[in-house]
Amino acid sequence: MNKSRGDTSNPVTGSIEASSSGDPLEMDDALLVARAQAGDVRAYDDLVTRHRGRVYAMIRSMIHHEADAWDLAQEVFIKAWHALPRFEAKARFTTWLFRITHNVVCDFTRKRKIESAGEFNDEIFGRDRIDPLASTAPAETESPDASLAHGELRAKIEAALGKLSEEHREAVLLKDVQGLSYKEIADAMGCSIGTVMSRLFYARQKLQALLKDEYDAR
Amino acid sequence: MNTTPDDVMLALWLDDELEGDEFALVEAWAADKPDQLAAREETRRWRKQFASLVPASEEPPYPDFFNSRIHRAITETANVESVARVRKVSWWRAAWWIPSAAVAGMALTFWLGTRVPYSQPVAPVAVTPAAPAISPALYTPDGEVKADYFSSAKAGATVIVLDGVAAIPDDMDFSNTAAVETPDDSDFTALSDQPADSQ
Repeated sequence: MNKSRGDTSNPVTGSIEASSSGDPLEMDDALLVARAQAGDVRAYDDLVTRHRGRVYAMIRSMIHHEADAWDLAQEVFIKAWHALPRFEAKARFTTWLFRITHNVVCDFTRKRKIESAGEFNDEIFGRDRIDPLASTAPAETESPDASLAHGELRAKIEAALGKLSEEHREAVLLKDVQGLSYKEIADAMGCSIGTVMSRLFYARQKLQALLKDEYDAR
Repeated sequence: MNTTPDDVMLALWLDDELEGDEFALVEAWAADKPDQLAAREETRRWRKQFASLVPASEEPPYPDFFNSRIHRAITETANVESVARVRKVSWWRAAWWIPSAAVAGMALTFWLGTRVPYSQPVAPVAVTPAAPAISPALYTPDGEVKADYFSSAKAGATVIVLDGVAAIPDDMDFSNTAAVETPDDSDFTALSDQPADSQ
């Protein structure tokens, strides 16, 4: 990240922006990871507490289902525990967690597609199978309670995200919300930096088109 | 000198991911290009607004339960794994002597092999056990007769010399001293030719 990164300081992702090699949080992560790798379950519990919010928010933004996001976030941390002996400090623990998150969400959506194949069930019909630019694409509406809780704008953002393909949605969330670098996103998604750039470009373009009214008003 | 950045460098610069010399190079190139500077500002504005609307972190409902379920899942798995490990260790301890015995057997076999000198194979030879050097006991009923025994393995002959024995006369009838079989003795069936009442 260059020095001008401070101009774009993200109030939500501030801790991530500061996650350079000398960041105390990263150093604490490294210590906790080392202890957890030695079998210290309490250290791993601290790691879960520290990162559960980001993992859960990422999954929830990806699949738009609170209960499923809760279960999948659990699965991420359980898989991470089993894979922890193979974790090397070459990457940030956060990036590594997002890599596992990517795999868990991909497995989930793949299974959901298989289960919903040939069915006309509105509840399990994959929204990412609908062309985002189709004039008849249904709007993603939340329940009144949820809409009140999250705010109308938040609902519109989520609706717009729901109209992106899975890959475009993940790229824009990892970059613009979680603050990962291109290299880290490529590692997390298992693709090249060029692919990340391409996905991010189209994802932003689509989102700006979908949120044109709100974006221009701000 | 062409200082125009390639697409990758430009994308990284637009997203504020360059640093050091690369950042300075592209920054100098873009200094007199207001469209590029505006594009970067637009990207920054977008990131800032989008990130302010979508939370990067959101506590899951019932966070304590969230942690406790993970804790339970990984400790249960760890217990299963440790039980499996203990079973393996127990078996190993119970059979600790098997590998030791195998190694000892191999070492012994090897050592025995080193004790036998290597030689060309030869045709098997029938070895006749050497005749034990037995001195025959000589006995003569007549005390005036002496007997001597000579044996030569080289000549393959054995000679017994009797000294003191009177010369045997030429007219001696050996038939009186030797057992001569009669026809009746030699032919048992001859008796069957005789009448039954004669028996």
